[in-house]
Amino acid sequence: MNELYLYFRTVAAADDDALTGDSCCFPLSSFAGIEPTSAVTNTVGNAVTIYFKSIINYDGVDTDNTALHSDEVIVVLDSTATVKGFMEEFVEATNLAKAKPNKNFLVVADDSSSEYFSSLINNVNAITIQAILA
Amino acid sequence: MNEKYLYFRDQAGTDDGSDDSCCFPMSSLTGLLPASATTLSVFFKSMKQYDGDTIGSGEVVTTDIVTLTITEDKHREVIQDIMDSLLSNDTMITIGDDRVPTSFCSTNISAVASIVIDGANS
Repeated sequence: MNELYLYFRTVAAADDDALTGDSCCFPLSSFAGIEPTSAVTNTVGNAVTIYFKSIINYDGVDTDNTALHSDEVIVVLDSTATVKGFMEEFVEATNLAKAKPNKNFLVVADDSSSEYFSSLINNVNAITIQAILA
Repeated sequence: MNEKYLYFRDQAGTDDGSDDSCCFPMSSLTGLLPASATTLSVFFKSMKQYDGDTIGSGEVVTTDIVTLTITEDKHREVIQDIMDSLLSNDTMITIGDDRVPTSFCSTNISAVASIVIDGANS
């Protein structure tokens, strides 16, 4: 079965998509979990943090004992959306996409094109990519 | 299903050194990130330290990185083209080959800017 790749973009204009943290694409196999977050203050609705294995360090290690953290995408939900509702739609969408033989790319949320896999999403608040170990 | 493999080469001429070209299994792809307005980086599990073990003082294991030169602000389009190419029936998929005549999986890729293979630790 093909891997599924998940895409996120937080910049509103495509010509601002130039830096780490502006957009990202993760394999679904790197998905580590979702939790509600209060890390973002917004007037829209609830927010969730989606965690993935670090793109840059992945199974990396640092013998100086620097902690290896996951990458994070914070997604702000629509005013009426619940966190559990989002989790259910995320799981359903990724399972449906993986079941299709000619689909390996799912736009979860793109603030530039206003394309969202679910109407429960309002915007991508932030993308945090862990820096390379040194 | 057979594994698929992604090929990159950043040399127009001689291809005889580490970082001149590389081939990764698709299962090693860890993600893609913009590096600048005109570059996109593709990350893979370390070829030389695959499972990430190292014990020497101050040593780290990170991913290998291939950076592609792309049309300005076309990161999403290039990612989409790479994903489409991974759906082909080929098992060896050329993402970018700077050898003349050049070959790229996307019309928005113009070169393989660099290949960085994480060095083997002691």
